[in-house]
Order: sequence, then C-alpha cells, then structure tokens
Amino acid sequence: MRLVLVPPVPALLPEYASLTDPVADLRRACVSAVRWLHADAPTQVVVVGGADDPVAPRVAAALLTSTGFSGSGDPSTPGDVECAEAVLVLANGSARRGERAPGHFDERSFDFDHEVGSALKTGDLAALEALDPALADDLLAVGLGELGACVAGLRTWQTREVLFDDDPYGVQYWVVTALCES
Amino acid sequence: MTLRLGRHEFADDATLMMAIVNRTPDSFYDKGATWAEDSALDRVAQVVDEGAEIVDIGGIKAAPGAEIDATEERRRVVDFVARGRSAHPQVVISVDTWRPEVGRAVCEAGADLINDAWGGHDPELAAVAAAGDVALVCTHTGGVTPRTRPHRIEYDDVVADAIRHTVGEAERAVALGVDPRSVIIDPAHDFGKNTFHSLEVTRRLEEMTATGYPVLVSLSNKDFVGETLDLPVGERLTGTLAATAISALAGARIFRVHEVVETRQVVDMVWSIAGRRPPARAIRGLA
Repeated sequence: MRLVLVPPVPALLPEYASLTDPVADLRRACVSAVRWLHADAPTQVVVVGGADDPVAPRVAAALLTSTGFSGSGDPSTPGDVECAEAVLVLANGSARRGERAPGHFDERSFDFDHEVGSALKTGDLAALEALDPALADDLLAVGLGELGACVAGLRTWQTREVLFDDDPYGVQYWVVTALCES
Repeated sequence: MTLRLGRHEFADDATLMMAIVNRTPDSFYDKGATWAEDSALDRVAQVVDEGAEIVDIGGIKAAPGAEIDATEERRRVVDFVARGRSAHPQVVISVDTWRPEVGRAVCEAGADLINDAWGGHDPELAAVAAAGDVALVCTHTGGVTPRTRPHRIEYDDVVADAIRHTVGEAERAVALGVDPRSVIIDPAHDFGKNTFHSLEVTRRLEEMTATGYPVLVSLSNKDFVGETLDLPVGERLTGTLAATAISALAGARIFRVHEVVETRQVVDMVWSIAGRRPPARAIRGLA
C-alpha cells in the first residue's frame, strides 16, 4: 500500500489562497506526494486524521481534487487501513516551536518532534504507536494519535521520500511518502 | 469583459490607478510643479514607480483662466506624449482634452486613451478615438461649457442624468467605431455639480457600475471633499480616500489620482473586503 503523510495546514485550502502563497514550498511537496499516492489510480484513498482537527478532511479533499484524483477520499473507519491501496494521513508536530509560533514557545517541542521525525524517516512503527498523547496535545500537535492507531495495523513501513521537514511558522511539518504492508 | 486601453489589456476585475500629470502652470493642486517638461517627465517616472497603470496628461486646467488655444494645448502635450510613450512603453498614456484636433495629434504621438473630461462637448472627439483605435472616457458634466464652474445647476435626479448621458455617449462612441472593450464612463465629480450632487453620485455609484461599463472616478482633492470637511486644497487626502473607498466598494475600476500609493492601498483593501481580491499574503491563524 502507498501511504502519504501531509500536515493539515489551512493555508493549503483554496478558500484561503493569497496573492503570494505563504506555503509555496510545502504545497509543492504535498502535491508531489499526493500525486504519487494515487498514481496507480486506486478506487479509494482512505483518509486518516480529523478526529481532533476538523480542517484535516478539507485539506485532504483539496489536495486530492487539485491533483486530479477522481475516486473517493473517505475518512477511515477501524479496519479500513489494513485493506487499503492508498492511505493519506494528516498530521503535524508541535505548534509551539518559537516565540512567534501559534502556541508560543515550549522547549519540549524539539525532543518530541525529533522523536516523531525519526520514527517517520526510519519507519519505526513501535515508536509511532507509543507517542505520548498528552504531550502531543500540550504541544498542539495533531493527527498523531490517529497515525498511531493506523500503523498498529501495519507490518512494515518503508519510507520512500521525506519531501518536507521544516517549521516555517513555528509549526513542525513533514511530508513523507512510504510503502507499507499490512 | 477585458478592458482594452490602446496597446494595453486588463482583466475584467483589475483596478487601475490613473495618475494625474499636469502640463500646466496653474492647476489647482500642484500649482505648476510639473510645468517644466523635465519635471513632468520626472513625475511620470515617479508615478510609474509607485505602480500607476495609467498617466493622464492634461494641458489645460479645468478651472476658468487664461484662454489656451488648440495650438498652445498641442504644444504642451503632443511631444510630451511621445516622450512618455518612449520612456515608459508599459504604461497607458491618457490625454485629458475636449478638442478633436488635440486628440488626433496625441493619437499619432502614441496615446492609448482620450479622457473627454468635458463630457462630449465636441461630438467629433469620439470619432477621433475611433479613428485612432484608442479608448475613450465618457463623462457627465450636465452639459456645461469647458472651463466653467457650475452655477445653480439642478437635476431631477443627478445619478439618472449621469447614467443617461454617459451611457448614451458610450453607445454613440461604439457606433462610431470605438472598440466596445475600450469605453469607460465617469460621473465627473464637481463637473456641473454642486457638492450635494457629488456626494449623491458617490453614495449611489453602484447604479453606474450596474450599467456594466467600467467606471472611472476622479475624486482627488476636489472641492466636494473640501466643502464637506471644510478643508483647503492640501488637506483633503483623508476625505479623498474615504470617497475612494466607497467608490471602490461600489465597483469603480479606474481611479484618477494625485496620490498613487495611498489610493492603491485603499482600493486593494476595499477590493479584498469585497471578496474580489485575495490578501497579499495571509498566514495568521492558518499555519
């Protein structure tokens, strides 16, 4: 199965477009990853994320539409991921990575994001399942609990590319593509 | 519909700054600051740098004063149009005149637009615009003679009169061969109007934009602003910008101005409030 992780950033939505795109690099990475996700024309993309973030399904729908996906992009229900061909996960790290970050500064952000980022890059499923949900909430990270539940149904995660790994507005974003087996 | 101004085309939702450049020794606002040709050319360079899409060159002040015949008017503007054209080929060159012979000469010199600010006083001017394949501004002056002040002019309905006249002139221009994409209407604040008339035209400008013709407004530092706020020339920018905001909200497209930067900011802000223009760069709350 193909799996892509992108951050549910509202600035990616067409209704929030600016004359100058403030997330141009991130958008390029997301578009590239989502294109790859449905390059084999799956009938369905299972969307993971949105339990703690109502913007996530909108971002997923916008990315699928803008990349020309014509099948259905459905929110996941338990058991979906195991038999899916394509999974789109919406999650990001801490939003408290600096004085000007949305959640101001919390120094725990850096260790936490490092741990998540390492697990995403190496396909460490156990680490992704074991993330501290209370700390994630404190740091305004979203989607990671659902990511943990999703990977619980996977046997392998082989990271293909890390297309984005940065915190341009004090929020940690990753764009990752992976090949997984359930 | 695309707006075509001579050599230049603009999208149907674009707003344009038309910067005033006087080739006069006695205009009310700048009092001859650009009377010298080099000063006027510096002014053109400045407003282009500030983002003006159009420069409107005038050789005769609007208010009464010494008689300027067509020969002198041509001397003031024709060569200057050619110089402006060659120095700033990306800018729309407009000439403010009521005289067909001046219109013909500036078309040959490279003008893109004739601003018939005296409301079709000479009906032949529209034919000159057609022959030169340039755009035309059709204005409403209540039929006054050029360079006269309004004196006890009354209308049953000033806005209806402005629409009837400008749309009539626009249709006449198209019938004479002016490109339908190149016809603009202007209610002409202060021209043939007392302050109450100009305020009403501003308040009801949406009725003019509803005609579908692109609307130009010329508000900059005018007497209706001065009388409304009891302020002399030189202290009318804030009032001008308030009228600019109301006009932009009503959908005016072209703004004839002395102050390009301030007007551009107001128009962009209003256009975005109206949902017609995205913000320049919005990330607050969206990261």
